[in-house]
Amino acid sequence: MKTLLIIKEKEYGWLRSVFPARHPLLLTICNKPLLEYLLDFAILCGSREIRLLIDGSHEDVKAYFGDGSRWAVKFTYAPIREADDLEVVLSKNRRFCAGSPLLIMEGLFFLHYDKKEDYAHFLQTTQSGEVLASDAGRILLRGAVSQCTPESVGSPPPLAITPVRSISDLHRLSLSVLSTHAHRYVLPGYSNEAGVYIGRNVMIANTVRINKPVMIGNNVRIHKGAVIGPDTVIGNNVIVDAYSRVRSSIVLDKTYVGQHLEIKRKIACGHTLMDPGDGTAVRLEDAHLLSAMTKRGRLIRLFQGLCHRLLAALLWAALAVPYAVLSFILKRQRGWHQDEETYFVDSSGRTIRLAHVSIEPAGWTGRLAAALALERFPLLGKAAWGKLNLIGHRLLPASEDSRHTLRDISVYQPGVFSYAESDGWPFLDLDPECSERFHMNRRNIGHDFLMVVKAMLNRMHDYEKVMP
Amino acid sequence: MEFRVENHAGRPVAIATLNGRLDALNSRQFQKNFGRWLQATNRFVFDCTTLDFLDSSGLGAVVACLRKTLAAGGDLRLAGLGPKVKLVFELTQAEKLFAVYPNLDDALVALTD
Amino acid sequence: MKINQVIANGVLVLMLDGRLDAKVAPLLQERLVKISRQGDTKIVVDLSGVDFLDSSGLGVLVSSGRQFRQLHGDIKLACLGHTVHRVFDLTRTLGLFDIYDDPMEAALSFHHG
Repeated sequence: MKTLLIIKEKEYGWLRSVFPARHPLLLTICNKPLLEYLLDFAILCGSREIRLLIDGSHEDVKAYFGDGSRWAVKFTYAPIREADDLEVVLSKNRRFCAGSPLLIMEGLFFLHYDKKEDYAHFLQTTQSGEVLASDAGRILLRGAVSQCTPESVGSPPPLAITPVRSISDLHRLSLSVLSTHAHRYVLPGYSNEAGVYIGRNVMIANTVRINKPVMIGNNVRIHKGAVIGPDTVIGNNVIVDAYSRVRSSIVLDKTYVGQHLEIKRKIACGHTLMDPGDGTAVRLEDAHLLSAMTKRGRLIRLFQGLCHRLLAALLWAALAVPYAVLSFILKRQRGWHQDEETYFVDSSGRTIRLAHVSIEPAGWTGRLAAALALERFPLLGKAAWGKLNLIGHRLLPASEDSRHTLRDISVYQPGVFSYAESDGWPFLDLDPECSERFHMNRRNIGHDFLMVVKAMLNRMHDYEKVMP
Repeated sequence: MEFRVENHAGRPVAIATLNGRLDALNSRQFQKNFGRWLQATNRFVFDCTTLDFLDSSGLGAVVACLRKTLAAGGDLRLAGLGPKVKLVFELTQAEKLFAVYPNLDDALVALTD
Repeated sequence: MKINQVIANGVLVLMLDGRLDAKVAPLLQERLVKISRQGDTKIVVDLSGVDFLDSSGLGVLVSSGRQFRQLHGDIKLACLGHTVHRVFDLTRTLGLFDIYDDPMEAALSFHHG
C-alpha cells in the first residue's frame, strides 16, 4: 500500500506569520515534526512508499526527510497547485498511484494513534472511502480490497484527528503528548526513566533541577541553578542560562534563554515570547533576555566579501580611464545626468545614498559609455570599499513599494550588477526574482566572476547592435 | 509621558501616564524626569494603559523609580499593563516587585486605602 | 540536446534529452515558437531525459508557458528529475505549471479541462 500526504499551504498559512523563521511543515510537537507523526503512521499501516504533495517550497522538508532511508522507506516529493482537487492530484501522480491501494492523508493536523496497535490489519479490513474526516483534514483509502466480512472486524484501534490552528492548540497538544501519551509515539531522545527524554550532546550543570515530565533536544546547555519542568519541552540547540526557570512551556529550536528569567506557560521561539492563553506575542530586542541563535559561516562570508571587493577594485581600475574621458565628453555634450538617490542596502531596511547616473546612448561616445556600463562606475567604488556587493540582487530604491519586495527576499544583498542582468533579463522574460534566487543559491567566487563578465558582455551586446 | 498630581482621599497622588515605548532611547530621560516628580510627592501610580512596549532598559528604569520611591518612604503602583508589557514583566520576574492593577481607578482606590 | 516530438491522445508531447542550458535554450525557444505558430498551443514537455537545467533553460520554459497561456493554451510538464525539480523549487516557479509524473496522463488532462 502506498501513501499520499497532501498538504496545501492555505491550511497552515497562520504558522508562517507566527513562526517566520521556521518551515511550517517542520513545526514540532515534542521535538518531532508534525509531518513525521503522519509518516510514522503511514509506516505503521504497512506503507513503504510515501509521497509528499505540497504547493509550496520543498527544499527545507527535503533537507529533513531526504529520500526516507532513515525510516527505511521511499519518500518522494511532487508539486501540486493550490486549486488542485483530489482527482487532479491523483492524475498528476498516476504512475505513483498505479496498481496499489492508496492511503491518502489530506491536511495538516495532529493524528492521535497508538504505535502498539495493528493499523495494517485494520486497514486491510476497511472498505475504500473515508476512514476519518474532520474539518482539519481527512484520511481516505482508495483501491482497497477489503479482505474480511464486517463481522470479523474487532473494535477499531484508536485514531483521531486533532487540528493545530493556533499556538494554544500547539501548546496544549505538546504538553498532553509529553505528559500523558508519550508511550503512544516514537519520540526523539533517550529515556532512562519514564517522563524524561534527553537528546545527544546535552550538558546539564549539576545544580540544575529537572522536574519530570521533561523533554530536552540535542545540543542543549542548561546552566547552573536552572529549573526545568514539569511539563516542559526544550528543542534542539538551546541554551538556558543560569538560575532561569522554565515550566509548562515550550522552548523551540535555536533559542537562547537568559539568566534569572521565568518562563511559565509560554512558548519561546528565538526572539519571541508567546502566551498560548491569549495569543499575545512580544518580540524581545534584548539579546540577553531571549534571542535566536544563528549559524555564522562568518569566515566564508568574509572571504567572499573580500574577493568581491578585489574584483570590484580591478574593474574600477580597468574602467577608470574610459570613465574619466567619456564622462568628461558626455557632460559637455549634456548626455550625462547624475544625482543622488537612496537605496535599500540590507533586509532590515537600512539605506545608503548612491550616485544615480543615466547616460544618453546617442552618438558613439554615449553608446560606448553605455556598453562599458560606465553609469555603474561610481558604484564600483562603493563595492571596492565593501559598502555594496559587486553582484547580487537588483538595487531597490528606498520606497514603500520596494519595502514589500524587500520582505519577499530572505537575505537581501544588493549588487552593482544584478544576476538578472547576467541572465539577459528582461530579454529572456524570466522574472528577475527567479533569476536572483537561482544564482544566490550558487554563490561562490568563480560563479560570481563569470556572472559579472556575462552581465558586462550582455551590455556590450545590446549596444553593439546599435553601433555603426 | 504625562505627569499630574491629583487629590484622592485628601492626599496627593502623582499619576504618570506612560505612552508608546519605554526603551533604551528614552528610559534615561524618564528616570531624570522621575527624579523631579519625586520632589512633588512620594505616592505614585504609573498608568501603563497606553504603553505599547518596554525593553530591559525601560524595565530597569521603572524598577529604579520603585527603589527611589521606597527609599523616600513612599509607594509606587502600576496600572493597566497591556498583554505585551505583562509578558516582559513575567519573563523578568519584575511582576513580583510591584503591585499591579488592571486599571487606573483600581490602583488609586488601593493606594488610598 | 535532442528534441523528439510525438502525438499522444491528440496532444503534442515534446521529449527533451540532455542538458537544457544557455547554449541549448535558444533552440528550444525557436522550436516552441514554431509549434505555437502551427496552432498547437496545448502541449506537454517531457523532462525525464533532462539531467541539467540552468536559468536560461528555466527562462525559456517560463516565458513560453506564459505565451502559450496567453494563446489560451498551456505547457504542461512531466517527469521532473531531481536536479530539474530543485531548480524549479528554488526559483519558486513550481506553482506556474501543472506537473505530472506521466506524460500520457498530462496529455489526457487537456481533454478534461
